[in-house]
Amino acid sequence: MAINVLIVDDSETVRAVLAKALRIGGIDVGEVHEAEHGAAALEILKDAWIDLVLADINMPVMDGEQMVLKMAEDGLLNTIPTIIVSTDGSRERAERLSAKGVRAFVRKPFTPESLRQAVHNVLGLE
Amino acid sequence: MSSNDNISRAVSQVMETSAFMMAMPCDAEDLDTPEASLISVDVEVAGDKPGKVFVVAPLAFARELAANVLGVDEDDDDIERRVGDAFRELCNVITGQIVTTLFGESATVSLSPPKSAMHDAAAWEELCTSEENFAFDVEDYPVVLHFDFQAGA
Repeated sequence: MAINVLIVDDSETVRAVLAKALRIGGIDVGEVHEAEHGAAALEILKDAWIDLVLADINMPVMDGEQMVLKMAEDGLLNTIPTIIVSTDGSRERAERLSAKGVRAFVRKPFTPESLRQAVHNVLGLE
Repeated sequence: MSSNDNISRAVSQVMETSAFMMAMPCDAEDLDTPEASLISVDVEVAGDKPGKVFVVAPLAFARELAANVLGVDEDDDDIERRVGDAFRELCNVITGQIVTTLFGESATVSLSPPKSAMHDAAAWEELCTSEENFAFDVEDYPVVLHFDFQAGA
């Protein structure tokens, strides 16, 4: 079944590359929603059915960590699998985000294979 | 392997993985001076290890980078619009790699949104005056970066 994805990154180029990488990686992608920061992503999450969130950390207006904290406080949003795709390499932040429900981390620069592996692991795809 | 070698290797890896471009470390004075417009990007680093990373390259490099990253031809309609964004993102990823190479995974930092600027070719030498330059020949394009992190931070 196709999955609906929300891609949250302030770079339009990264959003395009992530969408392409999912398809190259053989993920059956349905709707792709895009947001340039966490606040815009939360607005989309109110209205759209999303199966997977891919989010950066460093973004203007609302960063990825703040967005994850908001999602964790919401009984519906905290069930949506979230993968952080970021340049960030902080172990402390990764532990903090994992405790708030983030399922996986993909470090930039990523390859379609590393993204595919993370998505498969998080969604339990074969 | 020295810290500088590790930085050069990390930057080369970013170029190759992100844009399928081969980056060869070299001395800045060995690079050809660009004859056309330049683009530069600053990324501020806040948190445990405050500092700044600066990267400059010919605009033509950024155009080829954007085409490679997006997997389209350089004359694609989208390229002109995406050149700055693609180069800013490359510098963002390079900064993340430099922070991890220098300070490891114990450092918690935040990167500011990268800021880009355009320059005439004549500004090349002025932009590359740092004694701590890291220079690369990337597919015959000169690319120079330098960074500054607060001592003892």
